[in-house]
Amino acid sequence: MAVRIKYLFVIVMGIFFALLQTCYFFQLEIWLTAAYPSFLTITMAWLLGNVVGLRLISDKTDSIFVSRRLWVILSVIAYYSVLGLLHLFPYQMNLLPVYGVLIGVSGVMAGRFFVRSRSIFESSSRLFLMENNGFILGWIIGFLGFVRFGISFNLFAPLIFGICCYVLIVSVSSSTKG
Amino acid sequence: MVLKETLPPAKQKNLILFLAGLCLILLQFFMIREVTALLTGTELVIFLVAVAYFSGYSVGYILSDKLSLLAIRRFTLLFWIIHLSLPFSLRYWMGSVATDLPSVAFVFIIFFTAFALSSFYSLLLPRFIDMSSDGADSLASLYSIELIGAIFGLIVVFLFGSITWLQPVIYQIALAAIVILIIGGNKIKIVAGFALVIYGFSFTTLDFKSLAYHYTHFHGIPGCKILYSVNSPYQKIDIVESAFGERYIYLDGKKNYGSTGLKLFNVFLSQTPANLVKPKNALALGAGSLEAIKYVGSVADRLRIVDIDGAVPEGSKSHFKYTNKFDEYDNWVLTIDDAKSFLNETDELFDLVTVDIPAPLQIQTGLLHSVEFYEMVKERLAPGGVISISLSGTFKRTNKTPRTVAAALTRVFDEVLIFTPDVAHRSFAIAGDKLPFTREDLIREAVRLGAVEVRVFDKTQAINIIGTMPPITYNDVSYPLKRSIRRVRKSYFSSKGSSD
Repeated sequence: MAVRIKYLFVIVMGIFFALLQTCYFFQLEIWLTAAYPSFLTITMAWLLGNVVGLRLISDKTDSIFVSRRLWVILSVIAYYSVLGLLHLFPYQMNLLPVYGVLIGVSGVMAGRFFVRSRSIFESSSRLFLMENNGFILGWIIGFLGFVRFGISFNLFAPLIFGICCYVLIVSVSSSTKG
Repeated sequence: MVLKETLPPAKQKNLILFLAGLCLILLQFFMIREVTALLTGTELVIFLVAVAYFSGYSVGYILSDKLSLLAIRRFTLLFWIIHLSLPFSLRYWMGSVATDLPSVAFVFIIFFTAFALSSFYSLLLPRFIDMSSDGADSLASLYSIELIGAIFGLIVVFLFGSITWLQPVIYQIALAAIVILIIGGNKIKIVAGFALVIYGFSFTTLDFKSLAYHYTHFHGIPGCKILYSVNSPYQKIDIVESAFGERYIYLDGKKNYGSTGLKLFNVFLSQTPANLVKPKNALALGAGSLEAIKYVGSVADRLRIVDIDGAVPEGSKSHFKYTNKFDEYDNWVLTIDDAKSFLNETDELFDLVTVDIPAPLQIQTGLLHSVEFYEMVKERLAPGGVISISLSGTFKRTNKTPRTVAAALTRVFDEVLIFTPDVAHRSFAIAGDKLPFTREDLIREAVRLGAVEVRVFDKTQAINIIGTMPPITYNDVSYPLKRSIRRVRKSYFSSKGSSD
């Protein structure tokens, strides 16, 4: 059972990362600009956030910021903040740096996930494999979800998968302690 | 244990991963675009190529702990040889195989993307992490180095993306460095140096020759010559010339301008409404061949052309000056911006807005044929102003694309006239809340500009033909995918054509 939860957890996290990326992308494309800076901001901010999550928050401290749960919550908050700002101030390019910071928060979550989940599997290749398989699945869900339901899909999907991730983190943490 | 001892030292490992991150980003930009264009980049193709590319990562992760170090070295060598042939070999492949065996050519390209593009790079990171003794620390440090390489790659693309040869050449230099670091030895340094010099010096020749081969055999343009080829941040733009001097614009492998029908496209999209409206202030969304300058600029007081991609008007200025005559007019300005963003920000009102945007075969272009987009255009129309747009096909009950576009127009505008000039082989729509001309005026003008027979439908007749076909909206962008599925099936997996 614990093994299944571990696999499910990593795959669902992969789905969540891909969903966030596709949802950020489509929302910015519709409500900000389809121009290159938008795509560059998403990619750059996500990668930088990832590096911050991997390197700048030491795992050996007792700081609350090492927690995966916290970053999942912050990530969801960041996503809906972007959504809110885009709807309140559509096509305002001067808000691009703000969006970059918020997307970076989601990137930090991805970095924290990899550091904290390294010991879940015996080899890191399994961790990367399962996460990437989840990412592919999430990319397909994100793409087809947007194609079929448009912006309505982007409104709910990150929240639903964010909740799933949170619950699975709690499950994995308690099974590890057990 | 033996493997651990023979791993590269820490500094080399870091450099390999940094370069791997750089290569992965460069590959995404110049090869994924290339593959997409080779398969005539519709939404389904973009989707399949992206899934195949990310699947390549999984292939690498699977191989990561299964290959011996010797096998990894051999794999590195094989991978390098294959990648030295990119992007040329895939063009020759599509040009030589796709005509007779289109489905084989298509499936091979997708498999190639999944197994031979990204897989090598993704096997390195977990391999290095698992060989290290400090668990999570090594993951954090090594993975972040690969990500920093990717960030550096993004900066390279951003700064030098418009220089066609630079991305592939930087990619080859980075890959050769990885090969040297993994295989080691002086021989490989000499071979890699030699290979890089040959690749660098022959790139432009091979690039144009392989593209010409592809366009001659795959697109059927005889004696094709490449005049302009740019990988912009948005699309691959090729301007090609046939042996008979005909020039064509291809965007992501899809013909945008050049056949007889497409040349008449601008006559009916731009010239016809411009002559009827005589606009003071006109807006052309999408630059294309820049013929709007000649057709609209000649009758309007002012013309603003908006295009998201500066590389398109740049190519048209250089290679279509003979037809767009852009230097004969000084009443036009070019704005490089996203159309939605521009419409939202401008406070100008326009008497005529022409929409020269490719057919809704991708989500991006689909959004520019949506109800919400037309509503944005409507807000920028002066009293009596009109929008002119192509329906991307002949408007009839059996053609879904023209009905989809018309469905969005009829939902937004009070008056719509759809007309099909026989010589253009497609339909156009002019819409507004009060059209400043009659149906008869439209027919007269279209005939004057070369049509022999013109079929015209008013809004009521159009709604009848549209039937239950839904428009594209921000809550339903499924049409581009559906259309591209039909197009891929027709182009690669069917001997018979299907109606679109």
